[in-house]
Amino acid sequence: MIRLLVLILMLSLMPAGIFVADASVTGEQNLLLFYSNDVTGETEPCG
Amino acid sequence: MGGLSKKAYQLEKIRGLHELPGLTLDGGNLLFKQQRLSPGLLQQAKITAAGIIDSYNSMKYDAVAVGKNDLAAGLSFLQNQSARSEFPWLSVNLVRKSDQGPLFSAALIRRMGNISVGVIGLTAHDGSIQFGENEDAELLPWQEVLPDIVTDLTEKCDLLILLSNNVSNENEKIAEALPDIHMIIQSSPRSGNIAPKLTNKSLIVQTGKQGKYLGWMLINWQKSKTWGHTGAAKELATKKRELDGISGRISRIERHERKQDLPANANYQKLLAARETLFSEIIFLENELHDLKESGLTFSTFENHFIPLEVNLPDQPDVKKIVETTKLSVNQAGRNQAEESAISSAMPELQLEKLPFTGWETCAPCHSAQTSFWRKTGHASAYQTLASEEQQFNLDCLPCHVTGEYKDIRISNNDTVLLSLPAQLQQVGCEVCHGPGRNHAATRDTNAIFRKPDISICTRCHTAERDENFKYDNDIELIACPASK
Repeated sequence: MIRLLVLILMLSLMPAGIFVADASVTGEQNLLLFYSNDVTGETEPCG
Repeated sequence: MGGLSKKAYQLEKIRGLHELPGLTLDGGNLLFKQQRLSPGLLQQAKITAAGIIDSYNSMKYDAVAVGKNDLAAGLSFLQNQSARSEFPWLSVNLVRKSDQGPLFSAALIRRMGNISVGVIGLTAHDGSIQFGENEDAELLPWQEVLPDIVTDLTEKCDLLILLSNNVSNENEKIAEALPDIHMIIQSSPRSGNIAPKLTNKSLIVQTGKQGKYLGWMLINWQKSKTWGHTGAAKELATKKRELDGISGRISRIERHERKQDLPANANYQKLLAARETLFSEIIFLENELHDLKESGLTFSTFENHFIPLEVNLPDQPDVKKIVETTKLSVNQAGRNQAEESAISSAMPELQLEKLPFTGWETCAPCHSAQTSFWRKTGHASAYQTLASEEQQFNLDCLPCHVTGEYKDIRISNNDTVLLSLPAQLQQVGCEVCHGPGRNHAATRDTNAIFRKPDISICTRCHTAERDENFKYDNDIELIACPASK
């Protein structure tokens, strides 16, 4: 139980979204993904 | 479409900051606002749609899914536009009815550095799309087509993305049934952003409707082809905080109440039940994190961002030019429509004396204080504002800049009538808020006019998409006429 709690503590201290600096191995890759939908909006008013 | 040049600027900026391979995708429903367009709106809407495609070409989109709204001007229009798009339109389930052959590409495979990424397009199948008799097209349910292509692409790709314009529930079903899909980019008709949410093995994500946000992710994709559960650790911490809070409240009640009274204390019993639930959730999360650690795999991770495309952001010049040219073309098309209507004289609606709306000048003699006040408001110059932007013939804008509608009373169901309104109605006049005034003007009957507009009158135009700062209780005071204050 204590080991489990220590493990949980360690995991909870890990920041979200960790990145591997060097992803040069086949099957590993850092990439950018842009996404959107429904663009016919009114971000800029008609007048 | 004003947000497009803002989006293009942000794309360029982020691409420049991170020298990484990138994919730019759209979940669909980008060309038209509705699934069906009235004949009067069609011509202008098609010009706007073509402008959006030009902008997407300029932004170097990699793929777009075919959405229901994208078919609003007909299948052949979309096929023609697809031919001039520099990106593929994807739909795995929109097929020819005659032989079930594809009408659009089903998927795209793109090599990105060390990995291959597969992107599949899926069009929402909810029974709402009606194809014409001459259209050889059919929309198949995802269950019939998606499993096979996912199996095929799983062998060829390291990362598999589905562009789907289904609603959330349906996409969750897909995620449960097909765990080899790693991400679902959703384009469902809902208003807010959906931050990446892990459902089974898939991340489901969506930007809010009407193009108000650009979503982007930095992904570190690992050979495990599995998203890391950093979310579980976060959730565990939250649950533990909740547990501390509830335990404290339980202790306080136990200190202050007699023991024999506790079984009858509903709040106490409710807290005990909540503590039990939290206990089991915490144990589940702890076990999950433990199992993950034991497996020794390195998980794929992401950072997600939503960029609000606000009006004060910079514009990308090329796309700004496309948007401006498109808007001018739309206005010119409307001007031509108006001139054609005037020549044909086919619009009896344009004779003011036959309309329920009479114009603000009729109100002025009896309500001079009110009309004087109104003339200083933005409502009075609403049409003029459009004209100064060369958009006074844009049917997308016009209904909210003229006097032509009050609740279910409209000048005409023919949208093009608004292009040729008499000058007396070329403002957001008294009757937009108080109802058509012809009867009231003739009879002085106070029951024929409405004193204070209810919120539905305002939100016909001041929608969350157009005017996110609109607050009825505050804003109604700003435009309230003197006598009604």
